[in-house]
Amino acid sequence: MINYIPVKRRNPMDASVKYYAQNHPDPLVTTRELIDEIVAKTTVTEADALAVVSAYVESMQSHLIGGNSCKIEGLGIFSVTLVSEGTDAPDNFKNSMIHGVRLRFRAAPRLKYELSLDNPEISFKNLIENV
Amino acid sequence: MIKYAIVKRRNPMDASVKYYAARTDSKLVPTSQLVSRMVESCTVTEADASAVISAYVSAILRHLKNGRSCKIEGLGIFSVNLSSKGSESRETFTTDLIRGVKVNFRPDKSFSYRFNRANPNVSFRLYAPPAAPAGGDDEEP
Repeated sequence: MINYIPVKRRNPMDASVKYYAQNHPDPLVTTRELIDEIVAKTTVTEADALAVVSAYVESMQSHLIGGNSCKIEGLGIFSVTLVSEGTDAPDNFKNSMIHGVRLRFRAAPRLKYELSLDNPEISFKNLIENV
Repeated sequence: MIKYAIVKRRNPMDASVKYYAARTDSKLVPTSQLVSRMVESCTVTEADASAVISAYVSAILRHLKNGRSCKIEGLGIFSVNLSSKGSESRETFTTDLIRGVKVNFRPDKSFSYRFNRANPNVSFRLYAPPAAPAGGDDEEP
């Protein structure tokens, strides 16, 4: 069940006003809460679950810094892109023109399905109606 | 070490052409490989580690389906937003107008340093120069 409220938005082209659904979520779920849920559902101890998750993230970070992409099954693929200045000719390009690296995320098919309207588990509740 | 190639990009505003760095020659590291590598560095068995990761992903999916955002420490925050058609007034808005749910990912703050040039672990190497002979800029100046 996704809670939403209809919010007012103005069309920048003709200044007309319409109402659109906006997600109105409960507070963010922290890593800690996720760990507690895993411990409740599996036979793994809390210390082991914490170790696995943090080692996994660390391992991903080192791969990403090496320029590789990393996949979390069922969630998606993390990859990096470069941000650089442009040069007029390819020969003029220098390493120092690269400003930085950006982290990108691409959703996996499973995640896309889980959040699609085709999934019968997806439902919405208008919070305004119930006031 | 991030390998890059120099690619041509056209400015859509004035059609001018410039050359930019683009990451290249990267491989996709699958979940199974990350898990087996990880098992070497901690005392958890491979089966337990796989179970934890898949339970972790399921927990995240379940929260996202309820519209809640999830944080993976050291990686970032996943959140969802709704896309819908518009209605003329707040009262006439019905759930049928919702067309879909999108997932967003916001990288963790730690990545702004991890991927910063100031971080000595981040370096770049030209992988395949577009001209035939290789250029001289292999390492960071």
